[in-house]
Amino acid sequence: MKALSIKNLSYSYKSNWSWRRFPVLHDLNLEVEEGETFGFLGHNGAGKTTTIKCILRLIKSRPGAEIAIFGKDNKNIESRKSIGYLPEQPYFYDNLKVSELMDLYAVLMEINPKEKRAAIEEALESVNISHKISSKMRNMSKGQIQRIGMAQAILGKPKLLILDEPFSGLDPVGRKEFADLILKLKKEGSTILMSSHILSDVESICDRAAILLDGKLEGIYELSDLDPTLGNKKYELTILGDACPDELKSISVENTVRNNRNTFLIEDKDKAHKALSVCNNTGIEVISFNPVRTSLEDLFIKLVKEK
Amino acid sequence: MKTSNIIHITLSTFRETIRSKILYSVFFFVIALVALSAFFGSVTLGKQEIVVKNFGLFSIAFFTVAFAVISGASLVYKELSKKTIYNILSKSVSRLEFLLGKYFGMLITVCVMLFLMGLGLILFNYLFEKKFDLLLIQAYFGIFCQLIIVCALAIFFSTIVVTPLLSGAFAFGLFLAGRSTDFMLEFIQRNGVEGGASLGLTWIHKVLPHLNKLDYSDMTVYGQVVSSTSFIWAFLYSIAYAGVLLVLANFFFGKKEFN
Repeated sequence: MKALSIKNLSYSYKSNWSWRRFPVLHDLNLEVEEGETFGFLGHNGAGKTTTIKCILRLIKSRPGAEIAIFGKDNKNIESRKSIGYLPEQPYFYDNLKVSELMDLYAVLMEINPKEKRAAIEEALESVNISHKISSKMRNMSKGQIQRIGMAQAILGKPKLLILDEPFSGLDPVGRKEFADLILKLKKEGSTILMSSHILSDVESICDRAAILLDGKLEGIYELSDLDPTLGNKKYELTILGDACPDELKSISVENTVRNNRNTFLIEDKDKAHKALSVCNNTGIEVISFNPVRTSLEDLFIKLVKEK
Repeated sequence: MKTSNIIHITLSTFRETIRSKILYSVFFFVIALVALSAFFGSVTLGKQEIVVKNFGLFSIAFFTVAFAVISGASLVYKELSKKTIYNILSKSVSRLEFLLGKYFGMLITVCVMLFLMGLGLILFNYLFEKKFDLLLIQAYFGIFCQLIIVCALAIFFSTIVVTPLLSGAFAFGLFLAGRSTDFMLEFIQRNGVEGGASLGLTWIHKVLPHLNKLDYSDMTVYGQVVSSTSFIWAFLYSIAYAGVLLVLANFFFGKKEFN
């Protein structure tokens, strides 16, 4: 069964002062498999958050759209039982304590009253914020609020986790902890849909990613092998010393000298091996020789530029 | 509809509101006004305790209504601007459950205010009459019935008007109109308004909440006892009126998009 299926999703919003509607999403179709981690990428205003809001029925998609969560139509309120959601820049009731807030969400998530306390403690411990259980929300920092947002999202281990910019407001340690937590949840069987601007994080966490540009789906990519998508493979050769032999320079497309090391970027496999033999024959000391993996960032920038 | 969802949203709303600073400001303002009534009583001809009761009941009614309007009118706006609503409605919670939870949470808060201020007035009045005037409770019941309607009015306007200032103005305007419905009837009769205008005004009179009928302050101050039948009708009228408003509020809220 698909964890999430979106068919023909279009959305346009109405301005407060006119009847004109502004299109945001155009005929979006995508499916997220059960147990996978799916990245949702796009520039600001591409329609990522709008798609998430449509999934959660916070806004209503235009007629003809079909959204199903584990086979259940999202118009059916029960379909949301299996969802944990972390909004972008979450905010909570200022005067409530963390424990009161988590208690409210536990009830709304229909967690068994006997298991509620343990579930709350587990969720707070997962994001290292359990020591703040008696504090009021108004005394929390941005990063702490993000952690509580994550805790309420994973409360009761929902089958589908929707994370909108989960790393925003977090320091590097927090980012690493969140990334580890997401991978742990995936291991435990959760399906994760996350939107993020931090492409390296998406790349290290997600199995597949969809790129959305101006409300249109540009493509869905397997992140384990992005190179065929860009159609080329590059190699990086680093030698000791700042000398730049002409033969190596003519083979490479780019070279940079830093800290007494010269790095050449070579676009072709044969040329790369030729460069290695040049080094062997001339006695140049090779520090490293690596194939350069195409990053998600390369792909994303390429698509944006083409657009 | 899940009762547990409504109860827990009610509880959270109550906790959130009861800890707000505005509530404490209102509370202390009322205490100051009631204390001031003793001064007015001492410089006024007639019985001092009547002035204290009159002034006290007016202050309690006015400030509980004002608090209900202020916090109720900004309810949806605040939830939207702070995005706190996203964490609730993204779970299996219907919009009606959310509205009812917010409504009851607000109502309980103003009832706690009413209880504490009412108790304060009874104790304060003891200083002048040297007895606990429990008849004041019937006036509190009238205020409670008015609050049932005012909270629903505030919620209703917060679902259809974007800015809290405007929804507050509408809710408070309707509260004032509701307190003056008898004047409207008198106006129609005295000025011989006829035809379409008379029909229109009569309908407006029927539609407006008859809050003046729920005000037992004068009767209480002058020691008249309100019949139990009046209490029952007042209560039934209030919950029916609030019920209609909440159904309408749910209709508009259901159409709202949380962009």
